[in-house]
Amino acid sequence: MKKTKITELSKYVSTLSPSDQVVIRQLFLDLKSKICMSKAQTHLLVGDFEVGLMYLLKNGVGPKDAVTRLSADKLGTFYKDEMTVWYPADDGAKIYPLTIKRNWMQMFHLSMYLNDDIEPCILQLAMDFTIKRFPFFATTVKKGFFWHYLDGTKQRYPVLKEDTIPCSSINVSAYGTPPFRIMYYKNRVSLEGFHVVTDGTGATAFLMTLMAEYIRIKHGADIPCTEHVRDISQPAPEEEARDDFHLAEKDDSGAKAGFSDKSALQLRGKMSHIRPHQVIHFELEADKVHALAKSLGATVNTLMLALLILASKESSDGDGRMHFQVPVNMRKFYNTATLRNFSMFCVLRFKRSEIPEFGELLKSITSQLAEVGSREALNRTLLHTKRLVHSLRYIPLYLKWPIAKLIFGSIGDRVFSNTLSNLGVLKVPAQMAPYVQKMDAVLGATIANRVTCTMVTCNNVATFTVTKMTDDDSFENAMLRLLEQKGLTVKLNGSEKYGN
Amino acid sequence: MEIDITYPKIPHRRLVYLMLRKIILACYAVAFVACGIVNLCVGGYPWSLIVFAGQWLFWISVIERPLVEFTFMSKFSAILINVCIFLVIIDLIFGKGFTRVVVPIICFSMLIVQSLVFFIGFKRQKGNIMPLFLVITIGLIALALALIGIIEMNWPTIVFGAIAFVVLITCLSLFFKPLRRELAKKFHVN
Repeated sequence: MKKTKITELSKYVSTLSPSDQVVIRQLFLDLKSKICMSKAQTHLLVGDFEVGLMYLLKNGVGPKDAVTRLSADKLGTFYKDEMTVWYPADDGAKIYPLTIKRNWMQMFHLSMYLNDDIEPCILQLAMDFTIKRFPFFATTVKKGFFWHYLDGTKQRYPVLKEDTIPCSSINVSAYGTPPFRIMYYKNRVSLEGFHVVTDGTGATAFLMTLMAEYIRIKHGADIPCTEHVRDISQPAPEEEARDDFHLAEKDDSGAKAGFSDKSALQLRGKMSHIRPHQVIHFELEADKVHALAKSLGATVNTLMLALLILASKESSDGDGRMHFQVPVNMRKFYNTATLRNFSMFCVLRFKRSEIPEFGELLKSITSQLAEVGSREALNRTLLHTKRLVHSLRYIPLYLKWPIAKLIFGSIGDRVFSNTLSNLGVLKVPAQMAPYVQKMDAVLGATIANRVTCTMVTCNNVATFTVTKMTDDDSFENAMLRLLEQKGLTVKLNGSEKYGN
Repeated sequence: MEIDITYPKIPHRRLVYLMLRKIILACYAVAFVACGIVNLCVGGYPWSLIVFAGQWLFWISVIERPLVEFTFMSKFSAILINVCIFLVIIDLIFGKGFTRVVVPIICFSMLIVQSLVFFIGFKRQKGNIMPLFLVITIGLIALALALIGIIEMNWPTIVFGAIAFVVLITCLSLFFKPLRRELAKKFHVN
């Protein structure tokens, strides 16, 4: 006689009414019809449903409601059909696998904070449902003869408890390792990813959709789909996974574009052997920041850039050139639905001794951004990237790799003093807002830059984040002082100093 | 500046692997210089090249871990191909000619193991076709060169070429569609 393992769920279900028992049994029958994977993977996935269902039932959700929230239809055909999709690395991302080091790779980190602590079993289920909507996330990084690519991988994607330094490398060489991770810690869910997959826009869409699904399952909220929250019941449109660098327009201006530049002055501090050394979030009231910017006749981005530049000047020495990298989302210039990489950057340039006072600095930034951040200038950079990739396409990877490492290793981010990546205002749907506190972003460790910065605004909380690679406190002290001098109230939170 | 800590405490992990690499690289540099100088001073066979090749072989086999796609097939193939190169260097220095027999034997043995792993675990291994196809290509080229007389036609070369041909035909006849998809991925240029 076959011995059956009586799980906690089975025991609980046996106490329910016959009609409820039928509904729950049907869920698991439907579930098994949606899965065609190895025994181990199937067991894990079914286990997710058992644990999630048990959590909902124990927390007062009726069986029929729980089964509706965990409908097997939400799995789609992702876990059943053979995985045949694959994606060439987009033109902006082709450099990233070529420049991986032992303990460094281009990473991004985006977090959402909820009002309650995260329930891991519900987050796992949300992940099981959401991943199919973003098929270029459900991949592993592979090596081709000429370029790297993302190979579709059918598996269960686990969520992890946060126990690593923010933006620590992902071991993409291991079989089946995805180029991203979803982690939870207290009331925070973080998406960390290798930049080969996507940029800030794609990361935002993934995280918002995941968290919307999490809230739907946990709280039963009816959250509609919006610009950032995608519909997980619909297949992903091909346009979202497309490499849209081909949209770059022909340029007859004769103006030069390129990536090489002179080395920029770096901020003070000796690089820590553990990077990032510390992450600090400056929480501000978004409406006050906006009001301040408006009173000065500037945008929020310009205001924060001015403060960043002044803080960078205070925390550096010498009289060299200071260059500030400002990533720009190219989606505002082109009609595209892509969620892959589609960002370029522009550079603000100052001689350290000639950085003007705050008022003049705002004007200077505005005028520089109007020139270097214009559609035409960025189109030239886009075109240059496309042409560079095109010219290298027939060179085998084993030749491209060491050359790219050498060039990137010697130039890399040395041409910048600092970076401000502003993801802007991320609007959550009104039905989701009561559950969400804020969001923030962290840029990955750098090779030469002592500090990099990001800014994200969500639910009236503007979070300016400093990722530092040294023990030197001068930049963040200067930043805090400058923000407070402008009448802004700052709440500080972040990490310990790693490696101390 | 007082900061509210909102990240978990991370235990300080010593980066042992990275330290080990640095130590070994330092030893390599010393050996490289020392052996080179001694060999130049003493003269005779350029045995220091064998030392360097041995260092390279140890590095590839034991220390080096590929950063993308680190699989059994790729590691196994890389080690054996480097063993063959090492043997060729020894043979070139001492001129005994043993690699004409030994290298094809190593290659067809490698091909047999690769083929077994590939066919038995096809679902998982189909993404690892490059090492297999590299060795098949080498086998076919070796056989072709032997047929036109550029290299010696001996039994190991015949066996190597024949096995390469059989494995290629078997792959194409059993797994044509999935292999075509994999090759399209591996050789994409866009």
